[in-house]
Amino acid sequence: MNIVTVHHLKKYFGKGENQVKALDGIDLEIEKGKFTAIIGASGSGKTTLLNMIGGMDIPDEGEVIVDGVSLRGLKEKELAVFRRSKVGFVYQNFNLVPTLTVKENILFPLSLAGSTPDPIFFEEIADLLHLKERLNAYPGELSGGGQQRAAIARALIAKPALLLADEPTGNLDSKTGQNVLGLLKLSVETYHQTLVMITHNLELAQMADRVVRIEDGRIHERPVHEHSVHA
Amino acid sequence: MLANNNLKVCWLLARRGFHFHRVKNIVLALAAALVTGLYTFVFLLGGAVEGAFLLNYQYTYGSTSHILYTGLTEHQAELLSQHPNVKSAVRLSTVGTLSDPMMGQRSVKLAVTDRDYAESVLSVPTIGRLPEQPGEIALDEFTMGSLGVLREIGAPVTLQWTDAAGESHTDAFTLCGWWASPTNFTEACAWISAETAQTLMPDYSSDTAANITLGVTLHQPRDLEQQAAGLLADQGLPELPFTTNLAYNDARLETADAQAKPYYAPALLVLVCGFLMIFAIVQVTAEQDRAYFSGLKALGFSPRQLRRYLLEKGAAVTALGLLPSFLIGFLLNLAITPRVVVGMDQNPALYFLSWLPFAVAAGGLRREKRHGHAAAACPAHPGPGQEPHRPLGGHYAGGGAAAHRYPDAVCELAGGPLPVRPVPLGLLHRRRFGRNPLSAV
Repeated sequence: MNIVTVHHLKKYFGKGENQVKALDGIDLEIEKGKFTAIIGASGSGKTTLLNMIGGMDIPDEGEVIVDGVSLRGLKEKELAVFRRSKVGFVYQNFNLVPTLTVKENILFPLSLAGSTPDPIFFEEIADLLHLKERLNAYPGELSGGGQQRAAIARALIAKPALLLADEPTGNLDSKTGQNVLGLLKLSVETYHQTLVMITHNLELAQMADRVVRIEDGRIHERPVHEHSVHA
Repeated sequence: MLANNNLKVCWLLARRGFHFHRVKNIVLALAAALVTGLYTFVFLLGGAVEGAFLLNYQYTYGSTSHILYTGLTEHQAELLSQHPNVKSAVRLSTVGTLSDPMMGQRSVKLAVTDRDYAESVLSVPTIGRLPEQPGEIALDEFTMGSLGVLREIGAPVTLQWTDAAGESHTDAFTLCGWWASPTNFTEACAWISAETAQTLMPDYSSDTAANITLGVTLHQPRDLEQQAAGLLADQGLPELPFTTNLAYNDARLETADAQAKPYYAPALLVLVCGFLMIFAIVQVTAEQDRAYFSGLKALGFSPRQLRRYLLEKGAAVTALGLLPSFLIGFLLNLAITPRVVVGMDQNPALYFLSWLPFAVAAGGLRREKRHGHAAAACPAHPGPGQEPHRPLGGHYAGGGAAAHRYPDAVCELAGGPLPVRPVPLGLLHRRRFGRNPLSAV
């Protein structure tokens, strides 16, 4: 069963001679519960695709359907609610709110909707991601790995169907990156979620169930078992 | 779809943000205080200059009332006072007119004490008091000089006066107070108590005695001649004599306004400098702010929550700077206005003080802050071949496109078109992607 379906997606920036075709007719289906890696050179359209799937931007043509919800025609307020409940984002730069504690950051998506957290689930996540001792700290007091683990916890707290990770290990050293990605994968498997990750790191991409390559705004599917892949 | 929007979290973010970025917010508050203080001072000074011109015209007329009706009975005065257009009215009951040959051309009415009327004709004793006891009298200094009355409380005063029937009288009084009257007043009052008036003319207060002068202040002091006649007609009164205050003549009002305009002109300079100052302060962290807003959007911050957050953030800084700003404006006004408006006994900075300049200044600050914040939060225009997130320096790769759409919301919060397009220094340029993000809110 597919959790994400992308039909003929196009996105352009600029006009006339200076127009950039960030996405030039993308068709993609992502299976539920699987880990999909998206690789490609800088400027190939990876982040734009992720933004479209996450409802952060609106395509010029085409349609995105996430967990049965078509994003076409949704208003900004509806997209905000969609992101809160259906999507968890994990960014390269963590994107934690610096003025909130780790605990407040984790619970932030729920706070936006005025929802009360499930205390048992919160404890589980904090335990899984080794954050129990640091819940009252501010992001600035944590290491890179600690901040990214907090960001992952925040992405999981609303139990979204889909996790979108944009270079989640980009700002971490290789060992910490491996640890964090391992925890991310473990969390996704534990809570039966779907993970879509953008990465430049082919080693990390190999950990995925499926690798999709984007080049010049188009998809080039890449089998997972080809180890001699080229960027 | 679930559409709960918790707005309490916005205040939490605004409060925490204020503490975390204390230096920037304090500087912003100081800038706000300075800008508002200057606005307040400019409007207070302009208002004082305009008020001084109008007061000068009132001095010439001899009264602050808009219309003066003379020769009214008690009943007629009552009817006119009750007209809906009349904001307030003051009455003068006249017993007679001083007729000493030393008075020359001046007409000094021998009248029953009425403090309200005395204030409207600028004839309240500054030395001593208004008459309270029988036999007391209060005069202006010009009349005292003409009659050779000693400037001493209790000094004897002998007056020759003529009643309404034309009969001449001479009576003795005791001086209980006096004031300095502007020499261009051709009319004045000599105040006596009601008991004294009753003694001098027992029927002065009878229903048929047409000896009341009514000073009327209107809600709208325009077209005074028409209004004065209209009041009489509306109340079913015959054509009675009246005069209108020249200070409220359209030509005089325009002249006062024109004279005061140069003093309001610096407000334009304050507007430009204030905007640039606030813009520059906000610009220091503009890149981080844009990335911050993008991140909030990715987490599900709705346009309404963003708007609330920015309003509360701005309100906190504005509130911090508002009271000091009013103090700055007031102190500048106190120091400088008396050097511009001269010739008054009272301090013109206090005499012409009103709440309106403070309110206008606060409104000016609010506009400056919204435009300054919105202009600084608008995204950079991506160059050809660049993905939208690139101008943000790749700080938030996942929030690049969002940064372009949400700052549209921030720009919209300014409540309309931004004052500067393109933004100063050619650094920023507003760009729309797709629909207006606030169209659904």
